[in-house]
Amino acid sequence: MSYCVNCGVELADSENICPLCGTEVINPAKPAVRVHQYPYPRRVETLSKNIDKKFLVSIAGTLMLIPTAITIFCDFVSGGGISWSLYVAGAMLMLFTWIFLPMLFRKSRPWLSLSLDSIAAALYVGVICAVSGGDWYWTLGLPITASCCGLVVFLAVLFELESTKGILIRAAFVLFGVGLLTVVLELIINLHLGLSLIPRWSGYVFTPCLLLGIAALILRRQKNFKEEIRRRFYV
Amino acid sequence: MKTPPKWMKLDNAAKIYPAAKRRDWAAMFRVSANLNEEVDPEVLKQALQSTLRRFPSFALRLRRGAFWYYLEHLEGCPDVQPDVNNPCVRLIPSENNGFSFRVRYYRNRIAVEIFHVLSDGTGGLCFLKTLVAEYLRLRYGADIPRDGEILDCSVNAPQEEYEDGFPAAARRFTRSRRESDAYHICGTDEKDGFINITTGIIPVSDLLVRAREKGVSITEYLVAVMLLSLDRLQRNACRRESRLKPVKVNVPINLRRFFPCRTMRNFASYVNPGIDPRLGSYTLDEALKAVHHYMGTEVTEKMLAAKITTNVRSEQNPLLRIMPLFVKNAAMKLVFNLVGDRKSSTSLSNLGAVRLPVEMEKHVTRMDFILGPLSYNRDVCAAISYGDKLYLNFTRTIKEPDFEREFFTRLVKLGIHVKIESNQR
Repeated sequence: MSYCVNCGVELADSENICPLCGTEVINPAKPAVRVHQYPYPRRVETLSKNIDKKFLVSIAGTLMLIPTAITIFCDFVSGGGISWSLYVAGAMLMLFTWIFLPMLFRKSRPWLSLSLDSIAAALYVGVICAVSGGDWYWTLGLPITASCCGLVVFLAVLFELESTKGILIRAAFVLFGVGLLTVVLELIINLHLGLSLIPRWSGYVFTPCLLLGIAALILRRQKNFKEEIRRRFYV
Repeated sequence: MKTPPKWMKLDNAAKIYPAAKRRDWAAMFRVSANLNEEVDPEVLKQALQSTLRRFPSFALRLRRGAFWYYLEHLEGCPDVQPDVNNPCVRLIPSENNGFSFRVRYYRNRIAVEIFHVLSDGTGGLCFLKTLVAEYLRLRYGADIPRDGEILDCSVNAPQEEYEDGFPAAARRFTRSRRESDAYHICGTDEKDGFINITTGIIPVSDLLVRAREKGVSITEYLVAVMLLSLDRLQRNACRRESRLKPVKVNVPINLRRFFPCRTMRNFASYVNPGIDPRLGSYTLDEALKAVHHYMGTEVTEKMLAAKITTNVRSEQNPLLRIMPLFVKNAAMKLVFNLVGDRKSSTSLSNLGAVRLPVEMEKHVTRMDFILGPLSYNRDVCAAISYGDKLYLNFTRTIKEPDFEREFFTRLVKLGIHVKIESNQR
């Protein structure tokens, strides 16, 4: 018979520490004689927390098929062929790839799902170009989509690394990326329009992005300054 | 005697539980009995089969209708399972042959865990007593006299045992459910839904002397000590007096004491005695007086009938009735979250003193009653007394045992002997 020195309650023989305060039971009269008659078995019951994702994806997919099928039907009945309903079908396919396809992966794989998203986006732009009868896809649509998506995938891979933890370094990379992207965009547009290849307006974006990015990298190393900012601007 | 129906409606109190249940939580409770010898699972299974025939309100599967959930008769019997460390984890019917209760054994203990949709504590205790009596009959050939609480398994259940007692108890006038929100015990969540059980074992005679001195019942005495403990916890956590909230303890009331009803399904109401710490610090005598007089006015046949009427009227509301189940579920979940546990800081469910016939008493050494975790209140308590011992089981889903510690050390300071055991790993 032991008592907790802290709480004054008697403790059952099964208790090594007081369940109320965590004080260890040390009883010199009963040294280390443990009766292993626990009031409860050791096995812990757990509830599985997994939602059946496959089921969710199939339900969502079926639901998305409804508007798609209806628009295709309307398009066919009213025009005798399939034209504008491809916008809806393409958009649905793209949404499905963006939102529901990643749920089927066992682990989270950001770069893989982002690559799939990019392919879906590029295809959708292609569909728009084809249906609207434009000739801008190969020279303008695809390169712009590819460079935007390339930047996002690159940033996703970069942010997976251990050395890029922290908001300032990530902000710096985002700024550098956006700056570079504008330059590339201007190049693509100029190529498409047949203008001179020397970048002009993208400089207005690129320069501040570069400088702000460098500032973020410098700030990252200044512990005192960061502390100062935090102190003055805390909410 | 009529054969039990193939399906039944949920009783008035049970309607909220399927709507309020979540993927990882449902309102469960557990009653258990310890025998003087190790339990034989084979015999227990046989005993369960014959007990279940006598309790048609337990052999039910919860199904979804278009407008309400309903309970469908179920053949067969759930498997008898070995016990676990954390009882009252949400029951998944599909893993339990469709049943909404389970029977568990560990060494010399038989435990029944029940989803509240089937029955309340009193019904559950009756089921357990009958199960143990059947077990003793099969195992030792014990001849145990059957009465209103240990049922005779050789006859069929009369209709009054599986009917809904609430509509008959309802009258004309209703009462407002309005009440102020109460203080809540906060703490760090346990991982993976682990449930801490702390049992305090107290000599009934000690407690009875103390309660009689003050002219109150044991429940009222325990509630008053709980209120003072909650008050201390709140004052420790909250610096500004103006921010203090009332502390209240939810006390379920067995309605069979007030209304002529022998149902084995839900037939309980509750009251929320409490004190308001903003008015100042209460002494034990003041808290006892507050609780005693509150219970005196609230726990009466008239007040309880008005409370029942309110619930029966909302159930009969035509607008609510024609709503499809999924809309109703959302509405009832909202109501449950707004008024459910919010109005009390903790629960003290006291099943009272269990008396067993002599033939059974010599085999049964101990009885326990455990509440499953509540949805909002993180530390709740259930009490049952057997022989000269009162077993107080605290169910806690947070790591900090502050409430139990405050409560039990208070009892110790009042000169009451407390013995503690737990399911800590």
